[in-house]
Amino acid sequence: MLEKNRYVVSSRGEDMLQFEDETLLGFVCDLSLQVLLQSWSRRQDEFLRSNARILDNSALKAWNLYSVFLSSDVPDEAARKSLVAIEEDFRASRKIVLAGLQTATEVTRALYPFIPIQNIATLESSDSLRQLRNRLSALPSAAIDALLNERGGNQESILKRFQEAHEIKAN
Amino acid sequence: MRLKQIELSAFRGFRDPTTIPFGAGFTIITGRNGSGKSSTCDALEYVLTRRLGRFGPTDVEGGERIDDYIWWRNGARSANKYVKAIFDLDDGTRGERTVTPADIESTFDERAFYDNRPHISDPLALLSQTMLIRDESIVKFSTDLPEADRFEFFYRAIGLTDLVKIEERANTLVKQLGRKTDELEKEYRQRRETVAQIISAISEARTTAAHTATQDVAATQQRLIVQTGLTPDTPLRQLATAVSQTLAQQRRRVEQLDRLNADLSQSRSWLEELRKLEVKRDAVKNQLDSSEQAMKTAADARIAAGETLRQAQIRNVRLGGLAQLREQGSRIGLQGDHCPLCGSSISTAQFEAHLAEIQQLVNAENHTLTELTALEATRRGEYDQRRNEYQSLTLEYSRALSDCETLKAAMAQLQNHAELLAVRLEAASIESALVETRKQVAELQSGLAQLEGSSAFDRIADLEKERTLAQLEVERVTRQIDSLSKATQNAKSAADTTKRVSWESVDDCLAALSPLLSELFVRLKPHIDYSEVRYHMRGDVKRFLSFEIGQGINPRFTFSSGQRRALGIAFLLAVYLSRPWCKLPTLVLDDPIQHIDDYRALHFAEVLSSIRQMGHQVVCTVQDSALADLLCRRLRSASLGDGLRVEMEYEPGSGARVKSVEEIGPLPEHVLVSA
Repeated sequence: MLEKNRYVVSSRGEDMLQFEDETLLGFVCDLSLQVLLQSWSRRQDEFLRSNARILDNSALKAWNLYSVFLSSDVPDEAARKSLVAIEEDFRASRKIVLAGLQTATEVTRALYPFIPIQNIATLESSDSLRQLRNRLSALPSAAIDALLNERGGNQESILKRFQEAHEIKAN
Repeated sequence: MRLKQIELSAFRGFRDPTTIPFGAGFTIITGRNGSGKSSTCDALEYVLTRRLGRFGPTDVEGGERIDDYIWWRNGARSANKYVKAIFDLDDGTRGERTVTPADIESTFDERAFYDNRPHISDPLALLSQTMLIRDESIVKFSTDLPEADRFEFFYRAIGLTDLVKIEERANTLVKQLGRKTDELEKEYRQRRETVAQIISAISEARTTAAHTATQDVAATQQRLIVQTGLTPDTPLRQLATAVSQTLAQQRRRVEQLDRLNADLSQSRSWLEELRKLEVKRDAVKNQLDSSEQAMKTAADARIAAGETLRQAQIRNVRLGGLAQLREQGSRIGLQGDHCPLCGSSISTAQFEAHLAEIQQLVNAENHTLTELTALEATRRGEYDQRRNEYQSLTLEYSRALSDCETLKAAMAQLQNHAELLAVRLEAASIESALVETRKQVAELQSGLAQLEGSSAFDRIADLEKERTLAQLEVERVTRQIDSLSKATQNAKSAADTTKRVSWESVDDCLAALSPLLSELFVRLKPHIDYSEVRYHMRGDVKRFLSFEIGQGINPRFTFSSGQRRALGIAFLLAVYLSRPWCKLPTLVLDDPIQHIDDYRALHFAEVLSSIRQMGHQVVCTVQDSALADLLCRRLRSASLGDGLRVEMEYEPGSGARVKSVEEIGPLPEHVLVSA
């Protein structure tokens, strides 16, 4: 997902990837919930320590440092609170901590802060006039034309045309 | 297409000409309250739509509205009032759009902003409404707005205004047609009344015809022709009309003869009265003549007495001089033996005798003058008395004359009436004429009744024709009512159908928008415990739009104000991102981060970054400098276009201005990899 979105991604061991683009950088760990809760701080510190020189040289970019901790284990209430607490700890890096990730979609959702908007919708109301015309097909066509007023005209002329469309001719 | 810069002068908070540049990638505008951040957003909206949508047409305070506050109010000249937006167009050229108080000018076709789709009636208004996310619209969508109003806002935000107009048009048609139907119903009742009246008249005519049909009309007709002086070929109805007129004349003649008869009885006393008046008149005339003679005699006497008095007065004047000489002579006395006045030789006795003689003469004349004056006054009094008597008698004579003439005139008028009625002014003659005229009236009445009976057949035919025409009119009005009824029914149906179609369109739009809204909700994370949001639309007569988080939980009563604002921003961003027709990918947020904590501000920055990754130009105003720093750090990207940080300030007396413009350059790349 990250590579698809133009991040440079490389491995840092079995359970960690590091990633970077022109704006931000960081690492992603895929851990068991227990390991995540125990080791997230250590892993962040290790990453900072091993990249200390680089981050010092790129201090501005270091503001955009992300530590991402993911787990497929489903957290209980207590674990969930702990995960929230980790996320709200702004020390050194912005943390993204999510557990219970079972599907690719869930992983994609976890990576939302790094990727463009995914579910682009299209609000189309262009068919509404055609739909309306179809629904009004029981009316005389001249009456529909008058009502939709595509030719333009004031309300009096619309009334006149609408009335004329309903006129009953004498035998 | 990108927004390049805005140039403005004397607009909203800006007094002096000012240029606000925009980065192709992003622009963060920061500054304190009143420094011109919102005025910059106003400028962009105004240059596109020439109005400021956050102030409604009903926003009036003290008789003033937003139009009174568009331009700088403290003495700026019109020539200096303008807003210009410069765009980098897709074809590589630069386009300018300028608005002044009087005009709007553009160097490029406005269709550069949007695909030319016929269903959008006011594309620039819709563009502006959806690209500009302002505090007012965030509040409206932050769930603080009642559900019905929120539905209305969304309904318009997605450009269904044409359907709104059609629905309004159909509802107006229903009202107009209703009024016309009422008018026609009234006309129908009037026309039916006319038909009923004609039918009633036909019935009466038939009854008349039935009663008189068997009588000998021909003989009567002949007699009446003679009586009315018409020709024998006169049509029956014309003859009936003439008979009616003659009958009326003869009835009037009876009345006049009756009146003449009564006047004649009264006039018998008039002759005696006239004789008395004439005697009185003659007596007064004699008195008047005598009085005139007496007055003339008195006048002569008065004139004679006056003349005698005048002669005495002349004499008296002369004697006055003599009396003065005597007085002087007496005062000086005799001078030796000489008169002191003439110097003649005179004795003392003679002198004294002379003086006494003069005094006696003066005294006698004075006495005569007194008597003559009294006599003249007496004569004048007598004359005045005679004149008054004469005048009084003249008046009395005039009255006597007038009374005689009035009575004579009345008698002449009576005579005249008699002549007009062709009778002598005698009771026998008048009585005879009365008998004759009454007989004629009776004959005419009888003849007319026969004629009417006969002419009733003609009248029935005419009335039948009238009834046919009136009935046709009733049928015409009935047809019109039927067609109006059908038209009203169809207009109502069209209004309902339009409403239904527009609601379905809204429903479809919301359904299409739902995944994006959910994604933005997840990204903005307004609440830790709720990661799902659903919309809910209900209502038949009126529609309501509400949101649901979790299982049927209404965020309006669950979320804090900051969390509700985050939900509002998610919705507005979803609408902004869902406009396939829009060719200006510029998102402008006016101070969106209020009541939002640092954690969610970070989420907001990440969402803006994601939108920027899609190639959108992002413009965001914030008050907080640290927040501006955060956004600049998070949004910077060389490949997605350069960024600018614009700091604004308020200068007392001259308004808002740009304090500084800082280019936000790229960050170093491949830092980790190079390690």
